[in-house]
Amino acid sequence: MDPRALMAIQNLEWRARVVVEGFWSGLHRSPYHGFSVEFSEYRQYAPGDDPRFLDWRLYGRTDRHFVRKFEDETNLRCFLLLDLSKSMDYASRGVLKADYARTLAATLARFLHLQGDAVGLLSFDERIREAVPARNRPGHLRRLMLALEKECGGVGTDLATPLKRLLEILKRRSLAVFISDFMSPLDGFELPLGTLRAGGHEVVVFQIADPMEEDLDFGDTVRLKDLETGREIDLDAPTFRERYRAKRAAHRQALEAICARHGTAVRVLRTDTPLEWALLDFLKARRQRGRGNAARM
Amino acid sequence: MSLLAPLFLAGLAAMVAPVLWHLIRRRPQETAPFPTLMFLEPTPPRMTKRSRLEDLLLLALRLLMLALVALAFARPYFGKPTVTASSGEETRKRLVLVDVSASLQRPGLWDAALERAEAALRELTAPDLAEVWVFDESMRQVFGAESWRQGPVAERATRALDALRKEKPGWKSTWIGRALVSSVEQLEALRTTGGAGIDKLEVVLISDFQAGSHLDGLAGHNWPKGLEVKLEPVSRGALGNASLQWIGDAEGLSSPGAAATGQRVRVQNHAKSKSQELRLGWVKPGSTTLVGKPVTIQVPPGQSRTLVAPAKEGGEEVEALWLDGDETAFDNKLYRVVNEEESLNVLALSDETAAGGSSMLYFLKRALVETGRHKFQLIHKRGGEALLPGELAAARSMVLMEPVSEEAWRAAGEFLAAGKTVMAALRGTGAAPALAKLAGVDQLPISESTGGDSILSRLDWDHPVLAPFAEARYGDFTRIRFWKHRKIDVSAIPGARAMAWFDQGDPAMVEIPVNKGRMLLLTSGWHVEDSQLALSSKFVPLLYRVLEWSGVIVDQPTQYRVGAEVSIGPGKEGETRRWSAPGGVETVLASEVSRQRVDAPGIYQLSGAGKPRRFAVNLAPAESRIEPMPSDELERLGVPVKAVPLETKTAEAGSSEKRAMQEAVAEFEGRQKGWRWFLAAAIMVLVVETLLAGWFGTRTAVAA
Repeated sequence: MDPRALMAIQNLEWRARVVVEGFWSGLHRSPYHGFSVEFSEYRQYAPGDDPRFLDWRLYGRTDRHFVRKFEDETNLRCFLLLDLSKSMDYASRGVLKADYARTLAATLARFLHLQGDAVGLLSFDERIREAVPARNRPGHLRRLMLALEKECGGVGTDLATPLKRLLEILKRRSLAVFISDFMSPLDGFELPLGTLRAGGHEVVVFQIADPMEEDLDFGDTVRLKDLETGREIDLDAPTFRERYRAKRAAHRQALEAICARHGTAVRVLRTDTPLEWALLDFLKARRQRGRGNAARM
Repeated sequence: MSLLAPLFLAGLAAMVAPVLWHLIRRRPQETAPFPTLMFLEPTPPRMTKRSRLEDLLLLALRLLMLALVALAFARPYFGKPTVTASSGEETRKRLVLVDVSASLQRPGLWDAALERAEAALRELTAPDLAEVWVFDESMRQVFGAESWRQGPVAERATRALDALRKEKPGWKSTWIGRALVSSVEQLEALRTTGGAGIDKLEVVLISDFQAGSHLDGLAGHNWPKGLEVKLEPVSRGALGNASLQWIGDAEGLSSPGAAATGQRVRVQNHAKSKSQELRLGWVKPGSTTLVGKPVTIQVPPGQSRTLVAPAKEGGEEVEALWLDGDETAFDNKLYRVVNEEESLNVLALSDETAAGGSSMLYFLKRALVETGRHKFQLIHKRGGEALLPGELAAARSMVLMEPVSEEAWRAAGEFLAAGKTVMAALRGTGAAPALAKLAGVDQLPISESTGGDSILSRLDWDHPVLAPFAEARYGDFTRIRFWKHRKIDVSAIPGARAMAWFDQGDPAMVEIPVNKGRMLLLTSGWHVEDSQLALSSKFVPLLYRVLEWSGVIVDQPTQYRVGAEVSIGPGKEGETRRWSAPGGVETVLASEVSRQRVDAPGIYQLSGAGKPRRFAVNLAPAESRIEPMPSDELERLGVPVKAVPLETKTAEAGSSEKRAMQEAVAEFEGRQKGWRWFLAAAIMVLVVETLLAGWFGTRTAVAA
């Protein structure tokens, strides 16, 4: 679904529902059938399997014994780390990065909640703005949505703060989904990330990008105002475009290098990309992670 | 390449605008938000050529377009004019045409016209030729080319002006169309006879250019090459006017009925008029003081009111209505004459009784009805009744309807001998001896036609009686059926002239001269036993035409417009005719004068030819329309008007040489019309620029 059409739906919860349901219906027709965060597949019962995991309903229908195969027996705890700094409050083609990020977070939250996983939220700019613990109770999703709808604020972005906070609160092995435009220096990001990963937690990184900030496609000289600091500069865009792209690419490479060093990948999502793709990306990442874990095990 | 109006090249300065625009547009107009400036540095537009000016092709096209437009306005021409001012060969033939119509009588206008004429004459140089004419309804020369040529150069203009100063505005209408066409003919004639070097024709038209000017003949006129008409309007500003006219034609106005009930007049107020309360009353000659009981009327500007003129009071002297209270007085007087009713005795000789619907007398009685001007008195005499001597003398016309007694025929003979006219209709063959006697022949055989029904198949339209019917729509007599008619040998009567024939070839109407008089003989009666003549629409007109022909009815209108020709008929031997014009001027008319022109409003009188005849002459209504005509009206009609007014030109040009040079250059440029090509090129460049700009725009959008 085109993100602009999707953003026309005012209610964030509904937006998430549209994406998830669309994703599900697409998934069932797709070669990725059977994907879920934890649930992997059915397999035929074999002697020695725990009879608790027998699917009795399936047995009733097919007269065969199947066990539901779990890669991880325990329920997942997931934290959504959402950057709501002022730099996210930008849209060149009608879709705010912040809205796109919110919808992505809401979609993941709904998806995981439906799977029975506990979902929490940490929204931040230069400090933590909202902190919602991970739960899987009825009504929790609603609370999450309300927290997600908070406006962007702040004059800067501190990428380390949410990771540090997460390290403080995480007791069990968890999944952290980091959603940000990463429009800030990366100093201090690597240490908490490494610590998190070393603690056995998983991290999925989404970088939200606007087409304009990717390409700097101003046709002429333009006066630009920094959304976070308010600073203004005159820029001869055509002449500076290549240098800008190079600098931006270097920044992304640095980010990817950091993430790669700690076993995670950066998924870039432009605001003109359908959100379903993001979800699919997420599941792919999880699958790869799972396999990696299995391989390691 | 030279330029006629080089000052317009200042327009080239406009070329700076696109360059500035191309530069200025590089400056950011608005501030755009951006997530972060961490990867960006301020880079103000650099001063290199490339960064300053983009789309150089478009810029060049825009500059070229502006340059072409500026050049077009500068009126370029190539080469040098062949006519040089100092050669002395360039001469002008100028005709100064001055309006002397009634509207120029307004205060100040004639002096202004003289001033304009003076300017037009004084600016001429030695080789130039001039004539001065005045015009109203017609044109007349005041100072001719020959007088101009012969006079000393320094005195030419003065002499021409002196001649012009003897003229005064009259009372006639303005006929600009006629005057212009005639003046051009005059100029053309002089061009052909004036020798080499005279090829520039100018008409300086000095007039108030009032809306009531007649412009007939201008549209579609073939104006000669090289002619220029310069308009020199004289005006007194936007003064309003109210005018006064009789309603109805001259016939109705002079009718006794109208005199009894009062006459209707129309008061028309000009749209720019400031006054709307007007007074209408009678005045004495030479006075504008209202006598009797004037009426006050409200006529808002731009509207008209119709009202019954107030009753005439103040005696015989009072002869005109006066409209008091408007801004312009020259047309405020309206003259009126009412003729007395004339009684006309017609002697009808017939043995019939008028009671029967089938008799000729019955139809005659009904045909001679009373008109506004004439009152017919039909005196019927039967065969046995004796005619009194006075009756015969008082009768203006005689109608003889056969069969009648010999006595009646004798009376007709006497009547004819007095130079009067008899109309006779044959109902049988019995009148042959009396008619032969009257015509002075021994024998005049008359026989009944045996050919049965007949129609009038041939008529002599040249005969005065039938001439008015000559037009096709009136001339169809074939619908009138004749059951019976009599054959008569016209050739047997000396001087007789047949004017209508039946289809069998027999004459139907014959004019027979007898002594001083004339007899119109019809070979068939108009009663129903003989024909349908009396029942046809031709009968009454024919009868009245016979009465007019015989001089019984004389059409004498009592109202004329200034400039009209009054028909007074030729004078008779031994009588002295006096023509009295307004102001007491009396002239004796020569006997051959049959028409007389009236040039001023007022009451005229013609005496000496029988009963004195009076009639009123008034201004033409159009002359009262003094508001100026639309300024481009003459140009619209194709007159080659030159826009530069005389005064401006004389003020601008110091010396005549310089002026002549300027004119030569202007004419030279006018022939080449190079500016058109420059303008066309500018339009072409604009089209290319638009297409290119569109294409660039699309390309940029696609790339984005």
